[in-house]
Amino acid sequence: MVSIENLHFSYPKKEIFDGLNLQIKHGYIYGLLGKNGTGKSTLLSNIAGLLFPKAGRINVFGHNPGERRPAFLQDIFLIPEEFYLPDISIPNLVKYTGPFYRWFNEELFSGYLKEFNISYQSNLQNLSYGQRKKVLISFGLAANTSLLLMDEPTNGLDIEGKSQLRKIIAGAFDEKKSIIISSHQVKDLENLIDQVVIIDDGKIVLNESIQYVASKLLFKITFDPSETALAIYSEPMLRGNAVITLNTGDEESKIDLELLYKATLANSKLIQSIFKA
Amino acid sequence: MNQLLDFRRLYRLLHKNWFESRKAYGLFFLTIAAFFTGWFIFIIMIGNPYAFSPANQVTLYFGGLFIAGCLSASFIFRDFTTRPRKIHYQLLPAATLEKLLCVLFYGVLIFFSAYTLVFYVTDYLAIKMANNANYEIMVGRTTRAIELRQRFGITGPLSPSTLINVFSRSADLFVFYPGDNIDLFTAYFPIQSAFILGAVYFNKNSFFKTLVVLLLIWLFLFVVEDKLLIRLLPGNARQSNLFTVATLTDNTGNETYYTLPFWLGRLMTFLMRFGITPLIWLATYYRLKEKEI
Repeated sequence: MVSIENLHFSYPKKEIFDGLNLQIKHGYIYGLLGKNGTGKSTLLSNIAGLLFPKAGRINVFGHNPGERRPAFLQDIFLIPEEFYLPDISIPNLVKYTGPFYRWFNEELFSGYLKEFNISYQSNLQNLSYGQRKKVLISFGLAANTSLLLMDEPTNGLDIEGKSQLRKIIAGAFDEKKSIIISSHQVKDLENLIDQVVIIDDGKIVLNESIQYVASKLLFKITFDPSETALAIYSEPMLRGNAVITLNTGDEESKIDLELLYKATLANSKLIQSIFKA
Repeated sequence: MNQLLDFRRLYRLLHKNWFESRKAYGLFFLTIAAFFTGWFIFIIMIGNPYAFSPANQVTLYFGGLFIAGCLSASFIFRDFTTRPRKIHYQLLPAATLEKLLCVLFYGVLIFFSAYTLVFYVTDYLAIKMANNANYEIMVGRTTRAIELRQRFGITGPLSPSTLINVFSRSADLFVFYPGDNIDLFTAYFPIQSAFILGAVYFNKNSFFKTLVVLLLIWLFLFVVEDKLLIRLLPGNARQSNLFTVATLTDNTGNETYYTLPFWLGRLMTFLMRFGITPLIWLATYYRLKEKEI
């Protein structure tokens, strides 16, 4: 669906990607994690055709994103971190922008707004930043595009909004779509993503399914110093230590994305070697 | 689905643009109307009975057209002023050509029509008022009327001011030389288009940056014509008509004209008048296509 091969991209004074490769498949929600400034937004912008690679190739369901052909644009939707919405009413947003998206569903849109507790008759001018973001997210989901790109979607959302977002995304998702959610707030993506992609210094250091991660690693809290010493990664807590160990006995544990993220950034080679084995 | 131009999509885009920008357009034309009204009231109050001569009307028309047209062209791509707006604009599912046509429709066609309409409405009303005021000056017995008659040397009846036709080839329409209004139109559209192109090229202060670039181009052409081309001609040659006619004066003072073949001169003039604007639009199209956020 999305194929990125040998992507090179740089800003005038900073190189971002130096041969990045990534495949995005139908029917998965990807969590793109990384520190600020590692290239998450740049990657999404390249996929959306807003920035052009210096070298390499991006193919999004048969299109070169940089050409920005209407057939491509109506099948992707980007929810940027900093977004713009015109100062019009929501019904007029639907009336004037909805028809550009072939599969836009007004009923779904109003349903999402309802879940976010936003009145359909509101004027965008009178809504807060967070509410406007919820409108944009609802619109993006109702556009029913094959690829939905979300850049830090939880920024600006209140606690309730974050859980509503998770619920809505999970409900709106189907096998024909892909969603890439970029975030540095790792906790926000827990219980939502199928595939975790960690990016560091412009390179993908981890790209594995949640299922596979769970089969290879065990996440737990331990009070045993010897277990902590043997852990792949550990972090002291108020009581005990949060640790990641090898899952040798096919045990089930709840993945702590934040811990996985920190472990990967701390020792990416070790983590990579575990998943290659 | 046509990926280059789809009229249904273009119509949607025009509709969307009108709905979202109609207040800004309205305010802009109200500002122009207010400017004309203020100016007309000012010159009527001065009491000059010749203030509405065809030359003055056409000068005001073109002065306003050049300033307002170039300013509006610089703001027509206000979607490129901030990153979020750029993203919103670039990702809207419409072809680049449709986006450009939408800009040209509102920025060139609608602007020109609405500006001309605003000028005519305000000018018409102002002329009516000015003619009434002139009648007062002609026959009035007030101190001011007498003083104005003396100041402007009015001894007989004044002919009433009339509305000009800016599209006619009349010698009365005088900005730089008689009947130059048609030439001014052919200069206006390429210059306004250059400001549209500048708005795509420059992210900030596009009006001033485009102005500087145009001045540099003008300077370059001036140097090429005055310093370079003229050196290719013998003796005391001087350029009489940009790139097409040169005059050579010999020692006895006789002048000889050197011209390009008639057809070539006509072709060059035609291309300069009508070829530059589409070329700039084409450049704008490609710049828009390659524009990143």
